[in-house]
Amino acid sequence: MKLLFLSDVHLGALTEAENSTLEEEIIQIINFCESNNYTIHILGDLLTIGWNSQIIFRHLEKNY
Amino acid sequence: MEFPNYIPPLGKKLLNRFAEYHKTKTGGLFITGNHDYWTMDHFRNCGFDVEYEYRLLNVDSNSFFLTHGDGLSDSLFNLERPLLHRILRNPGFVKIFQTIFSGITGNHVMKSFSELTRDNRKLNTERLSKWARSTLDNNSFDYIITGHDHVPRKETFSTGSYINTGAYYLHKSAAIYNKGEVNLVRWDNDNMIFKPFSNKPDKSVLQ
Repeated sequence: MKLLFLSDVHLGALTEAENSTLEEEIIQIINFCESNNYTIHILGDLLTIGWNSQIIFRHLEKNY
Repeated sequence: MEFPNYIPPLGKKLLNRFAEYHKTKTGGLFITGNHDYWTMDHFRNCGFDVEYEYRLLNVDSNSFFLTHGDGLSDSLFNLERPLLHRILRNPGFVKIFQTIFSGITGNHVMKSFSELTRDNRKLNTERLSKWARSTLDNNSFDYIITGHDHVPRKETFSTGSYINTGAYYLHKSAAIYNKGEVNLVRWDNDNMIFKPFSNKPDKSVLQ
């Protein structure tokens, strides 16, 4: 059995363009999992309503 | 967040794709996090097996403890939720909130509230790492897998392994179980493959 664990996608938390890109990426991952027989388990925070401040995200990325 | 008779449009295309995927691949879990726990039937209608706390899985000869990582109601596991999260998950609070506000207004209110209360929890990895080690020491799980603090990592102890999948939106990270073991991976969208998670370029391919 093959499993994929995915969390903290936070779709909705970024700009509209970034959210669109993120959504397409996850759809590609689903396509991959479907083709390669993976079961996908979501471990929370797939969607996020709010905290879409670009400044916060840029700060987090810069300081990671 | 869902309201009676209102499903937010957020992620509609993605959830529709999950619904298609679940027509042929059943058993996918949706363990709610602190940002998406107000669910009613929509995730179930998309084919997910929805869980609000934690789930134990046995796969092959391995046992998994899966949860988001914000906290657990069951004091047995000694991972207390912050007070704010306990309030927001309280059925009485949810009922009152959904009585006062319509779906659209309620989501706007929660959006504003979320922006005000956004914390920088990604810097605090110690809480989950210490908890995971203690839980592995006192139980018979082979793997504990969470997200929440946004820092991808795999920590291996004599009693089991703790994996944090990290934040996909930041690191393109996830975890894969294959051939009896769990490893961190990174999605390479250009080549549509997962690669081992590393800060260095890696040409290995996982399928």
